[in-house]
Amino acid sequence: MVKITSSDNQEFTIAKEIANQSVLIKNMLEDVGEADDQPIPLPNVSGAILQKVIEYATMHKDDPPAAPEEETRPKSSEDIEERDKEFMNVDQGTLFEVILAANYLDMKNLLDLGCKTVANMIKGKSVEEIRKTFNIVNDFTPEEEEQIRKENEWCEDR
Amino acid sequence: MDILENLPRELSIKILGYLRGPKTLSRCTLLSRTWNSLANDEVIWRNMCGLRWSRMKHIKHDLHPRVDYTSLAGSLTVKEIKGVLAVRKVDITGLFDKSDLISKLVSTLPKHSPPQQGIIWRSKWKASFIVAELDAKRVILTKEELCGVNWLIRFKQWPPEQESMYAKFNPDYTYESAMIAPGHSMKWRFYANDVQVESYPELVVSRNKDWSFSMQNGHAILYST
Repeated sequence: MVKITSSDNQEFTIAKEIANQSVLIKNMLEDVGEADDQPIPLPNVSGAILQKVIEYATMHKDDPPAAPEEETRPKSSEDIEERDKEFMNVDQGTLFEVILAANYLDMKNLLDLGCKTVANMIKGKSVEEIRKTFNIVNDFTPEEEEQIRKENEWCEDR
Repeated sequence: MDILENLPRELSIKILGYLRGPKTLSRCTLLSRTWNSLANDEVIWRNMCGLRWSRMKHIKHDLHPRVDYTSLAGSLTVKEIKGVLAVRKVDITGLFDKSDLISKLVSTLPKHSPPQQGIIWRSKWKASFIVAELDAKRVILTKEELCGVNWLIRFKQWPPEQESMYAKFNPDYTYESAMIAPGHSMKWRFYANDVQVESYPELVVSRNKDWSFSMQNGHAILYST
């Protein structure tokens, strides 16, 4: 078992195969060796988010190891497993924190899942709908906006 | 919350990289300054060009020669400028300064390029993507295009099982085809925007879904390959 502590000092004890899904933790474990039972501090992740990340790692502990990235294979945000879709059905604050945590912990699959989830929230929406979804403040001057519309004309006509 | 405004740039770029449609990505440029800068990212658009163009004929994964680079000159490397000028077949002997190359670049936009007046491009690869789409509708062939691709010809009265035959338009205005007896050749010429072989009815150019060219008259149809 491996002990990890969150930024708000919550301690989690998890199985090694779950901890190893984080390349960051895996490398740390290799560095400190087996004997050390000191908890690994993860000062960039809160307890609530770590809980969520552990949930994901537990759900995927029996997955085959990820195939090496193929540059040519077109990745699509549509291919998300049903259970992962369910897992990512969270508020945007949590989604944001999970993406940051996955990046920090170096968990490629979770990072991809988070990014695909955000991409799917953008797809198929109008400009106003996207602004509303993400609370985006339009900080363009009318002239700038007109200029960009011109540049985009081709895409909208198609 | 504005997720893309708050994430590290490389993660926001990764997210936008999943948006496959140029339409969606273009919309993102209208949202705010931050989103505009992200959605105009060269890496994303370069990948978009790669994905789209790999399924199309007669296009190489390079910056497009028919982009008006006036507003982009500062973002181009000397190598990229030379690349575009080479595709445009512009002579650059004696030009060594980047500023000289840039003035050459902005003054040699090929004829019949898509109209780009008043557009300030913010990404060279986005500009290339859009210009390529518009240029794929061009039905005026250049001599380089006509002579640079291989053609297959078939006559409309042929039975479907008969295979198309090769045809070639040479830069010296001779026309070769499997239909012509060995040792003989015909002449071709441009006739307004059409192509004429000897005094046969002129061939009218059209474009196909995969961006290849077709030319046809009442008797025959030619496809570029």
